[in-house]
Amino acid sequence: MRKSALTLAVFAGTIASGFANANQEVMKLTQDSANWAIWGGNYAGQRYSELNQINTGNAKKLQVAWTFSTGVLRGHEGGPLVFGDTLYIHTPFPNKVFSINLADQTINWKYEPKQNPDTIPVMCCDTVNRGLAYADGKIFLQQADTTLVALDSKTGKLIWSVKNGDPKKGETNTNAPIVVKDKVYTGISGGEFGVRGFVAAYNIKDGSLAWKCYSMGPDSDMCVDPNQTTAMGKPIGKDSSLKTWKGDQWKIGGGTTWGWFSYDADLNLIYYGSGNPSTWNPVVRPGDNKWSMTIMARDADSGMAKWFYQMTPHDEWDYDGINEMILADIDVKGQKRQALVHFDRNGFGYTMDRVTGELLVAEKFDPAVNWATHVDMTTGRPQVVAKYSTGQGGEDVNTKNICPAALGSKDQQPAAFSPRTGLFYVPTNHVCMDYEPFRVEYVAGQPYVGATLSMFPAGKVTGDGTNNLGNFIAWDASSGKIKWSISEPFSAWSGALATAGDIVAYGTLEGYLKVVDAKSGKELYKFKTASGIIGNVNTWEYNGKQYIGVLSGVGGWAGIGMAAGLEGDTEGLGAVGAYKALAKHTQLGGVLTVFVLPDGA
Amino acid sequence: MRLRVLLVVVLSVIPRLGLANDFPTQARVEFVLGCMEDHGGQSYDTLYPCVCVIDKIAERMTYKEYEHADTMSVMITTPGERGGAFRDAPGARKEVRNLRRIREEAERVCSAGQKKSG
Repeated sequence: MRKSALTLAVFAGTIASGFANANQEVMKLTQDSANWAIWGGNYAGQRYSELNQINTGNAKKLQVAWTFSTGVLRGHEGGPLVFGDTLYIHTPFPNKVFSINLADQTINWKYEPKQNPDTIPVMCCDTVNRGLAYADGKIFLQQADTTLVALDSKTGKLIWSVKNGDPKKGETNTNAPIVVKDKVYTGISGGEFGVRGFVAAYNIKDGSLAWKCYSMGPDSDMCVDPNQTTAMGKPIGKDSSLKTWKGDQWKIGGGTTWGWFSYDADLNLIYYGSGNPSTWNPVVRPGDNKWSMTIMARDADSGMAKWFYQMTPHDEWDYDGINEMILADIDVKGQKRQALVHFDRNGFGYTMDRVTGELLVAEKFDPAVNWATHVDMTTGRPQVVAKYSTGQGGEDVNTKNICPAALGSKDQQPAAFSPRTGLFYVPTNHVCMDYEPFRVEYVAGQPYVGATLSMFPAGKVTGDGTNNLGNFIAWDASSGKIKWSISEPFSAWSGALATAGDIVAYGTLEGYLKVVDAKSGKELYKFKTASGIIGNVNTWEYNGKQYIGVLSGVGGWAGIGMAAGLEGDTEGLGAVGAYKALAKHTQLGGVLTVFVLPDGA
Repeated sequence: MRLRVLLVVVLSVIPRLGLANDFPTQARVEFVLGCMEDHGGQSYDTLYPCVCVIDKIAERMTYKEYEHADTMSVMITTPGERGGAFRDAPGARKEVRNLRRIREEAERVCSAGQKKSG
């Protein structure tokens, strides 16, 4: 009897430690710089590596070590996960996953889900996928059709799957999940279809739902405590969301959650942002539309909200707040802070205290930004310029020369932070727009946009004679100032990497992987990959060598007659019709290009 | 090594008239491979016209101009909101049409017009 009790206790202990290990295991993997075991390199989302074999002195000697073609067309976002002797890479729809043996680059296993192609037309912005998560011997993939799957990392065998949403209502997924302790978190896309955003936590053991917290609606739906959850240092109070919507508009209110998740283990908080309120026509949805466009800090175990900060109350421009949250301990105005740094689509770079949600810095990271003069540091509200307010302009009125455009001064592609320079490295858009709201009726599964846009280079508004559509900048989050800026002909849509070799790497839409000096921005190396780059640059070490890898693939390959959609069916929203010209070239697809220094370099 | 230096010197003194064909080897090889694929696969029947086409294009544009127009022609077909910035950019459609025209003219001159699969 005694013996069996002891056995039971040991057994229970194993289970308990099994749960804790899932977290510790990933934590441990991310602490070894040979690995790239999570989308951001570490839980803080810094996209920084201690590896320094490739550095400012030798980066010019980089060569292509090997490549891997995914065979899938369309835009390739995200980047590979690497640990041990294995690399895991994902693709856009149909969301294949490959496990690759680093020793000889052979495929260990391949997973290809069967997904209903009806999912494609309800994806607003191309059929991208931002990557995988790992924990507990499982690879987690969030499929486009909202199915979240756990695959055996050794065999690729499906362990469990769960439906996270309903594509018939316009719900889809593009985000990379993240694992903390015994749960895997995921969000939802579909703000252009009147979806109500949420974050869901599933138990990694069996895929059962642990909790689900909405971005808007009744307090009980949002996992908030009206007295404990704060915004700008004050309790949010009862019905904080309901009061800011007309009637029951919150039910189709948007605030989707298709970005990245970060985690602070000491505070046990997860951080992410919510997207735009639906529709894009602000006239029909008076109020602040809480909590769309909000930075959210939630308890990792319960989902209970610690603090919110709404960046763009009553959005009038589609400035989704979903971009990554980078956690870094930095000096802010002479004081050591546990900071959260976020480059929002609305063009402001925010530095927050990630413990309390206190707003520390909010400055424009593109000087062209003009929709607001500044952010009031007492109320946290942007001071909107009347002539750029599409709501004040009204329905069927074209508000002109708003900066930035709806794509934002920065989209989802994550920035990097180097603790060595204390700087943030940010890929940006330099695009402005004309915006005309119009009235639409909500129909489930149909686009619920309600605005016509026209976009152009920011130089047209600033009048500085420039024509570039992007910049790659180094940002000081302490003072809110640009340290240096590289002009890019096209928007910079690739996630950045910073390393202890004092290099920073990013990709361009022409297809270049660029390596620059972290201190000065001076270009050290560039190589043209097979297609435009919208993937994230990751780094790892294998057999004593440092590698840098990035996915390229935006559709379009050298020598093949493209420009087919010039006059045709790709106008407007909805990822339909494009790539017809490429459909017959099925051997073409995204390419993972891996770089290394030659021997003796 | 000396030969390469000499070549660089010779190339750099060729007057801009007719352009000096500054397309990198990689860009030309990739174009030719893609073009062959587009015209029915790898064979001498597709190789020669495709080599001709890229040479003719390079006679009429710098690589920088080609690269910008080529990237624009891809981005313009990107679905949704994202492609919007490129579709709307002033001069973008003109730039893409210009590239297409130059390419079509090159294909005519090089007898590469008859696509087998493309």
